[in-house]
Amino acid sequence: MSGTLARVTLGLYALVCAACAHTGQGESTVILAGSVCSGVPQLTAAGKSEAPERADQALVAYVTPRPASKLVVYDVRAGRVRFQVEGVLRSRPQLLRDVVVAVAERDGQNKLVAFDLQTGSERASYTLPRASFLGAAQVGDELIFTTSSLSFRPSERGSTVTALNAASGALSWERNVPYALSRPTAAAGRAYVISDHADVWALEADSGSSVGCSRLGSEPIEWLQVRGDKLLLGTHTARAVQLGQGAPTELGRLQLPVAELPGQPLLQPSAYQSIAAERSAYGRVALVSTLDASGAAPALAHGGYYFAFYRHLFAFDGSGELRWAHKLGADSAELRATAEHVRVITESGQVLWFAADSGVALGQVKLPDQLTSADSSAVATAPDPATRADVAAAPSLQRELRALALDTDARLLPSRKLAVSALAASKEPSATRDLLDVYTQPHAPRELQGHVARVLAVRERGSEHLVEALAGDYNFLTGTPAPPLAAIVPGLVKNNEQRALPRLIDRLFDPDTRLPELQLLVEAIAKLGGPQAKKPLAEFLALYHADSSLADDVSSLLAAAKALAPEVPASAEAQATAPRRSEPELQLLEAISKDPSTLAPVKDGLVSLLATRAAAPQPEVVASEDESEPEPEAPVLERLNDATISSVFSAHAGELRECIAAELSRNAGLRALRFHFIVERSGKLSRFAVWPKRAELLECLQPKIEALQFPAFARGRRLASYTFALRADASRDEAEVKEGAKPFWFIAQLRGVGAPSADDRVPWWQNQNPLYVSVEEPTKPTDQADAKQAPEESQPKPAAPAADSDKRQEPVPAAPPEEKPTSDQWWVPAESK
Amino acid sequence: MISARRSRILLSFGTTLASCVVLAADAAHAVDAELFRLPGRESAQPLASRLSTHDQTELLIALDELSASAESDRNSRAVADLLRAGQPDVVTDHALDALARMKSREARAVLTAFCRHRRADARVRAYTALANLRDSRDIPVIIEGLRDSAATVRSQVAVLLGQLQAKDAVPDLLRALELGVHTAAAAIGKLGDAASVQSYGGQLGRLPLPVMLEGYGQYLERPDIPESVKLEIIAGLEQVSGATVKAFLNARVQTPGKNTTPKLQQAMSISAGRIRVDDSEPSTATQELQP
Repeated sequence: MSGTLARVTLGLYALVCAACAHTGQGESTVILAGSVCSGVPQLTAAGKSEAPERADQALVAYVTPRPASKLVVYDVRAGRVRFQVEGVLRSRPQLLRDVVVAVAERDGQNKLVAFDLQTGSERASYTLPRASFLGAAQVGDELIFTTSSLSFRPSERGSTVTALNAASGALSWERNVPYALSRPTAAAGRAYVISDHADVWALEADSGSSVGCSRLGSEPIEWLQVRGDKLLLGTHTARAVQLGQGAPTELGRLQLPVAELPGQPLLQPSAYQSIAAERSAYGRVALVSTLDASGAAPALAHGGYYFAFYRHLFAFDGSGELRWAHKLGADSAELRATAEHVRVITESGQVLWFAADSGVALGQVKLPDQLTSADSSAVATAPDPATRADVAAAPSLQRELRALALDTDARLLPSRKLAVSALAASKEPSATRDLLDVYTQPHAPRELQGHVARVLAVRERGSEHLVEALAGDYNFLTGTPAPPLAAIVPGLVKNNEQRALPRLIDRLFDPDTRLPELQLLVEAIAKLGGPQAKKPLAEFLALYHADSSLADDVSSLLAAAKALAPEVPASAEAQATAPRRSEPELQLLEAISKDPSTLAPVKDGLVSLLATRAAAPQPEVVASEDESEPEPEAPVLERLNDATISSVFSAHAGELRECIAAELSRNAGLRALRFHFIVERSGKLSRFAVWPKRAELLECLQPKIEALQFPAFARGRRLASYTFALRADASRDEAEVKEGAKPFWFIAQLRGVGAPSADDRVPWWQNQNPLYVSVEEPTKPTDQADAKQAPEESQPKPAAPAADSDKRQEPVPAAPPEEKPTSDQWWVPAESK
Repeated sequence: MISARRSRILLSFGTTLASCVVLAADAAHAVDAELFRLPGRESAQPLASRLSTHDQTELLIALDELSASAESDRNSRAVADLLRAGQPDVVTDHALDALARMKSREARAVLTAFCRHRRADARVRAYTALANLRDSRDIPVIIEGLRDSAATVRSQVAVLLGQLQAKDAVPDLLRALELGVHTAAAAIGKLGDAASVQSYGGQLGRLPLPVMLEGYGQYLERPDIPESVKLEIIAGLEQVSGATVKAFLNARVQTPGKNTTPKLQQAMSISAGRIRVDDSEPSTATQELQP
């Protein structure tokens, strides 16, 4: 026999052996891989369920923390410990019909131990067949429990259902499967287990034989409840399945918004979860929903469900709306509910009852020990009369939510966010104030702050509190922080809260406004302020365009520039009629874009912005070098500056005069001409436009302008503009002017002499070039000389947008008190002395 | 016969030499022009109009000349306009310093605005310039500087308040001192009344001793503080004891101030004598504690 044939034969033999394997433990069998339902009849309805037999008991079984770990069974009604057993426990104790069971570590082994509930005597001690104990159920005299193990070895992987005699502790039967099983659910003499997340398998409690098995759909099943001839099962949703003599039929389902809760709890606790004796998520994060199976589809038995997250307790109605909330004194260890009451056992050993509908505290009991896990399934959910507390008025939901949201426990961030969401949904305007308090709480987590900011941005009530919150300044002496603009401003914009505008402007010039918040602020001012916003935004842009304090983030400056720039008209007609370059804001933008000290990113942004906003005939700005442009042989200047441009126009003013005079004759109301052009590095003009757009004027000027030669320069191309101020409505005294001896604007200046004084227009003799800034009074004789010199000044500066207005707005100082100043009152102003 | 190659070398050398001579002459001319330029001689136009240049060096020179000019009101308006137009840091700071020298009330509005500038350096200069106006109406604005988020601003404002004799600021100065604004100590010593000594003494043991002695030194020098209060200060310092206190008291005994009475001097002398100094204890240099 060849080696290959031998290996193939051996492999086939091993496969057959594995498929037919037996455990070797009596009658126990291994169910083959594939489905637990293979060869098992269809799941059918059982008989009538057993009536609960422990309704008269009021016991709590709990485990105390290490090192003095012990199992305690406490009688709530009697107010005393019924019995306690010292030892190292590995699982949460479970109260069954007449025993309490838990996994205890004994002699290095994990054993299921059962104690008589009446006497505390040990009835059973059985070594677990597998590592994880999932839970137990009592059916008659049988104590049925499931253990499971995970392993890479197929022979060690699987689950075992074991039945012990509850009186003697003897093994009754045992079933093994090579895959996962849930903890058993007892009903009508049967034990139901879920297999592989989809099959429901019913075993005869007395013998362990299979009585039925069905795959109930393709969805996973995490929990199972048996209600007569119906099964309730599911994960985050509940499904109802009708059992009959035929195949099980799906009735309907219940969907609750529980997946949005922190930790995404299941609608019922998972039947696959091993519950430790130590503190665990089982009790700390718990959802309780009592289901009603009487209808066609499952429903909430009491119209609500309850959720505990460590020390936060929430009650919801069926639609997911929050009914009430509480902050507990300690973490929850167990949560249970009925139609009227909600009961919580905390790790500090308190048993608390609340009214299900209002959250009013109804009673409490203090257990003698702190605890790590507990089972109170044997306690009637209603508080005993002896435990009743004074019923206070129902607590304010908003106040409770505020307390939860302000809880500084780092573990509670998810439930704090839940409380914030609930606060944001409140119709009370003052909830906005609470949300701001949460945001400004010292050491508030960023994630929570972000959540508060998001809910405030869409909240439509209480915006007056947002306005109010803008008022405070940072104060080092009192420790008052600056207003939380990131949380406030979007809400103000959402609610179009124009009352906030003055305070927003204050914040814009507040040194404690954080850099990332400035852009938000600028955009809000632009949106809320409309035309009124232009002045402060222009002041802001002018003040900081060259300042290093904004160098790290110029987004606010660019946002201000964007707000100041006029919108691009949608249509060509609108473009032609829209007021453009004469706007002072646009002039400011152009001036700043040309200021060499402007921060580089601002300058780049402005150039781009202005190019976008430029009128159709206006040449676009090209910042980078044009590769097609011939390289100038010997560029003298690094860049072409404004002074040079002015000097070229001054030198060629006579050549242009004819065209301008002709235009003045056609249009006597013309006040100014503005040239826009691009100068290439060679010093030649490549594109030219004139405003106002007149065909005759353009036809006359274009050849003259294009003939101008500017000095060559080294870097980039230059987008430039130049403005001529004109006045044509006065009679011209030709005798005073020698043709060609003076520039044409001098003639225009002469025309203005004796003319009626202009109303509120800018004086004609003042240079209209936006790059020019006047610092002198135009009426003084010396200033006229200045004005004449102005066009020849080397490098004009961007105009201060509010220089004069600030002076007007300066508050008049209060008159000093009328007291005779003494000689040492040097600080009293001279004018008041 | 000179070869073509040699002639090219000679020609190149000659050209280079000539270029160097021309450049050197230009450079010397530029240096001379800068050295011998006098204020106001640059042009006939008003000084204020020279602020319209983008040349930073020119701007700084013009600002210096403006601050030295007699027309402070007019010039300060021009500088205020310059500031509002937005400048690089160096120009802003220089302009604020110029306003501080001009001491013109015309600049009050812009200085008040710059007390809220985003740069702390600019705020320090604005508060300083505002204090230079020596106007009691500005004191509330300056007191606000103690609430500033920048330590440099708070520190400078505390000094300014002391210089301005802003007695209304004492409660805020005490709070600022408690929060670590050490320069407030001297200001409190200058401004606080007799009742403030107890509040000030509350920081003894919490703040560094040299800081506290700054304030106590001021209290002891003042004629309006009763002698009994001064004696309590000395007694309190004696309880603190140590080399630093001993040096402080000895310095005042050796060079008494004009308001130091013989009784006070005697008390300081006795207290200094009672203080036992361990040789191993580091002592603060006497020079630092001179009154």
